[in-house]
Amino acid sequence: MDTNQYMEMFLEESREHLQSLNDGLLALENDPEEVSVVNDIFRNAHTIKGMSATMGFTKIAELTHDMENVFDLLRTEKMKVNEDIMDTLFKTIDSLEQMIESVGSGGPEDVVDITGFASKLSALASGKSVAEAEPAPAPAPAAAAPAPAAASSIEYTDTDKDVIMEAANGGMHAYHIKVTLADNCVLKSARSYMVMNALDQLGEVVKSVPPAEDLEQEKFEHSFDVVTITDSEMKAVEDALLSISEVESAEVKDAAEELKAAAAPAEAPAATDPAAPAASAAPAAPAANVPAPAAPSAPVPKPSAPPAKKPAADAKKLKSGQSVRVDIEKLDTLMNLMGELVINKVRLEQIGTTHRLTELTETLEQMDRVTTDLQTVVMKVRMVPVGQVFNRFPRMVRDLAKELGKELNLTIEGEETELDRTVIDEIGDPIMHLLRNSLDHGLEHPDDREAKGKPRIGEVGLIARHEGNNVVIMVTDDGKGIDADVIRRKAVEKGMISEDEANSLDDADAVRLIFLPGFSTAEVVTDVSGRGVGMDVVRSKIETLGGHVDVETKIDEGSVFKIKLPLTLAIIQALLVKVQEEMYAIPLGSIDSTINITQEDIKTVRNREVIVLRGQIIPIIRLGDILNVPRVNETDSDDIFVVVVHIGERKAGIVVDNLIGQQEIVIKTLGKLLAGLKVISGATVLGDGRVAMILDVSALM
Amino acid sequence: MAKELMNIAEGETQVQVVAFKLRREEYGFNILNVKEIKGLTDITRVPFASDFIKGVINLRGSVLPVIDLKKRLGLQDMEYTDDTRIVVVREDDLEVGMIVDAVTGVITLNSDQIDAAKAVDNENSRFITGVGKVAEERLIILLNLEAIIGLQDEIK
Repeated sequence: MDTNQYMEMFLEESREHLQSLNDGLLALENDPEEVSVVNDIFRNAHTIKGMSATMGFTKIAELTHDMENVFDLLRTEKMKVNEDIMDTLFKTIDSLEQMIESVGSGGPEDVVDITGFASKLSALASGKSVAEAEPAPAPAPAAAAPAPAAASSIEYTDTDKDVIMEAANGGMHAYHIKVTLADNCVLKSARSYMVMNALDQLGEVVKSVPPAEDLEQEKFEHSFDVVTITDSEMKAVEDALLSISEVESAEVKDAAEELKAAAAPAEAPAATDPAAPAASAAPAAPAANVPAPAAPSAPVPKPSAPPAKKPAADAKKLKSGQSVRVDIEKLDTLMNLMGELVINKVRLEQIGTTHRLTELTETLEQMDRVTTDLQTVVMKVRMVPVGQVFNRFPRMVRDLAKELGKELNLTIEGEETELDRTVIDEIGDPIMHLLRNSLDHGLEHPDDREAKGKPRIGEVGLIARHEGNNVVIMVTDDGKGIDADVIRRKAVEKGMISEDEANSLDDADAVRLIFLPGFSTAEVVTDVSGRGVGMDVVRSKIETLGGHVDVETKIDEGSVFKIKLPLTLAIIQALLVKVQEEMYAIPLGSIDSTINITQEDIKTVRNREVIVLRGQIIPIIRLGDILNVPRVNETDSDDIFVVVVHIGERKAGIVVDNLIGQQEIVIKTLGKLLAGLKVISGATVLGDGRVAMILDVSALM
Repeated sequence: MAKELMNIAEGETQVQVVAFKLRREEYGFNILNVKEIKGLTDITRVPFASDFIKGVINLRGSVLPVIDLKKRLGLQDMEYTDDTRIVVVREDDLEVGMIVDAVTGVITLNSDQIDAAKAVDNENSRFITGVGKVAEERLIILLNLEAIIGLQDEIK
């Protein structure tokens, strides 16, 4: 079977299921009594197993199967959650992740040695279960056949009976199969079609409840019944069905046996009404696993019974399920086309203004509205909730806390806040670094905390929210805070600044020194953080994203690292300025105001030119000098245009020769050849077709 | 050697080059690397870029860096004329424009017409893969595009 075309799908889905597994295990660890979680993750594991088996990744399937066995014991409460089990499960998931990523990049499946886990898992599974499994019925394959007829939700007509009996007498098998699809299955009709197709290949489907037309129109809940006649073994049929993704369980019974059982009504103990156990929510034991007749493995809510209360996580999953997966490249193309459109619109506007074409200008106003809307929509399409990045942190934080011997409670807020996809892809590492930093340097050891009169368990927060046209992401902790004096001392020791300079800095600015390259305050360099590369990398990463990072801290109360990011990177509002004959764009987001001053307003303080604006001293940057703009004409006018910009709390005045106007610009990268230029963050194509450089304000200051 | 560097496929004996003039000499790029040839347009200077990078141009909506090829090869500068062209070349996924004094045409060279670059003690020899002899009086210096634009160590 050529599985290449399904590879993408397999990877995507596996990653999602692994994420859910991680989340589920974390939930379980927090609340070991909440066994219902296991039901959810059992399903995730099962899907991974099914998918990887279909794709031919037997090792992944085996390992998942071993893990599933452990889940099964937890679920049926034959085994209690303990730390050893949790650690093994977490490590297993990590291995699975590595294996899946490896096959995803075309590598071999067995990148990790799974034998250790496998044996540990099976030891867990068997060791405990042997001790406690005595009352549990031995897995009896025969159990499948004399299954209680009460489970039969199918009514056979006389013709059906004839066909079934005939097949049974003719050496064929007639099976009654109850197929249950996953709860969150979106394309039920497609899945049911795949089921039918699979059965058609094995034999002949003689009956389905509901009928095929209804299946096609999704007129069923999550399960349906089919009767098929085939020469395949029961197990083969079952495997074939379970290999279809999102098929939760396929309960295969011998239809002939069923008919016989029904004929003797006294034998049918109607007590096992499937509705009762079904209410305990959907996750059913896949029939592959020990169908112990008495255990609540009798699956499947009745078609009429709506799925019982769903965990919140499930509802979320459902929401993300109702979407279309689009290749990010297609979105990029869409965005580029959008950019072209905007450029051309601006060009037309200029023509309209130069030639005073009222009609054109009026039409363009209409068009402007449409393009603005279109642009908003395109932007929105590219937006992804930050939760996609956040959801991998709880696991990381847990592992790290264990490693460091710290106790903490991670609060995540605002996962639904949306950011441009390109930003999302880049933001993970900086956040991870800040979290590590908070855990390693911020939070004290539980004993130290107690000594200070703080609760043993530290609080770490990861919060995202909108703030105007920006998204703010904060990493907070209630740890020991950052001591400005320690930072000053270190900076002087490392020769980064002089003692005088250090003393002239106020506390807030002193703490900001940690963002300078080569700064690390960790007394002991750990492998977690503090290798001297750190905060400066975070800062430069955030700044290449057009964002800004700052820190607020109070001794013994904790620190807040605040990342401020633009909503999108592709199209921004900018002020166009002219220096001699060159045109530059300054992002509007960092502009405070523009002012008009004269030469006399500029004072010199400590060899730096400054102006006083509303009682504040602001340094002046002469753009022409900084950028080495060739002098074409001497400016003899006394008027000086200053664009006042800010980065965080800091301000500066950029001196330019002329202000051209505000415009929406499409950011283009300068490409590999010109990568890493200071002060220039990109380029844009102007309405007249010329290229203008976009200034990186933070690098100017 | 020259054969490899000029991307001549195994078993092929010919290579086509786009020939152009820099001052009085003729140079050439393998035609497979050449994407298009453009007239001169507005070039925007890029502050802090290497001195041989003339700037960037707008190539149908995308921003394309342009190299002053004469400067890159250490040749003397010359005023732009009506014949001045930008040759857009492509190496891997990197697209760059090269300013040349004039494009002279596409020339087919047999491999026996190409002499491998001799180990000249010229610092520019790394930019040259060989010399093609078209006629007794006409030589085309074949350029190593990778060396010309693959300049990680020199960008700053």
